[in-house]
Amino acid sequence: MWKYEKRLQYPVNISQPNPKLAQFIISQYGGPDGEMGASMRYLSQRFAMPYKAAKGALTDIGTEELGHLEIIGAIVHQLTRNLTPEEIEASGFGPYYIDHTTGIWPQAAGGVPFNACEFQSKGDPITDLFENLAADGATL
Amino acid sequence: MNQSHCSMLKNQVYQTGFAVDDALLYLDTHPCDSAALAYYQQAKALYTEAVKAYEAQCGPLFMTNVSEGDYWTWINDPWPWEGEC
Repeated sequence: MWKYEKRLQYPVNISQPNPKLAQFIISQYGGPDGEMGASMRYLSQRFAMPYKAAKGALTDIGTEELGHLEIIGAIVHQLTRNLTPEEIEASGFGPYYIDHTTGIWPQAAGGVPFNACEFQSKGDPITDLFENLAADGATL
Repeated sequence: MNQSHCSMLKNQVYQTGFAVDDALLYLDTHPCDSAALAYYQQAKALYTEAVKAYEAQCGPLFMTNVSEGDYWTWINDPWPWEGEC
């Protein structure tokens, strides 16, 4: 189970809204290499992991990725506060705004919804670890 | 308690908490490293102290640390994603 610690892992204090940047950063929330995929990847793969060190690592990294998901949500939320309709339209944030207003919804920058096909969980620890190398290696 | 004082106390929580998070991940795959085990204990002690100092003056970080009273202070603003600017 999980219990909430009422803080971000790293502070986010954005004073200047920027909806154009928000539209890019939302991809790190629900895009193909985003934190939602990362957290679900590790937390799902651990059930098939036979080794205690890796069970611990998958559990604790998956948990930390949930913390990262929250940080990204906070960034997008703060980048889209107090916008005027003109700012929304001029910035290119309009298509997102039409569907979600300024709610946080897991999608890629191009509007593709979050999809569990962004990660694998094959029941084989070596296969899963290689998939993790590809996933986290690609997003460094 | 004023906002800048709480922000200073919270910074201590961020910094010591980050050290604990990092030590945790290292120890998962290096459980016999005595230097890392000692580092973890040291970081954890600083983090526990920082949490206690913040919670005493600025409000609960854990729902189990909500103090006795006539109001459920867990729900007090600001929530973490709202920022402090």
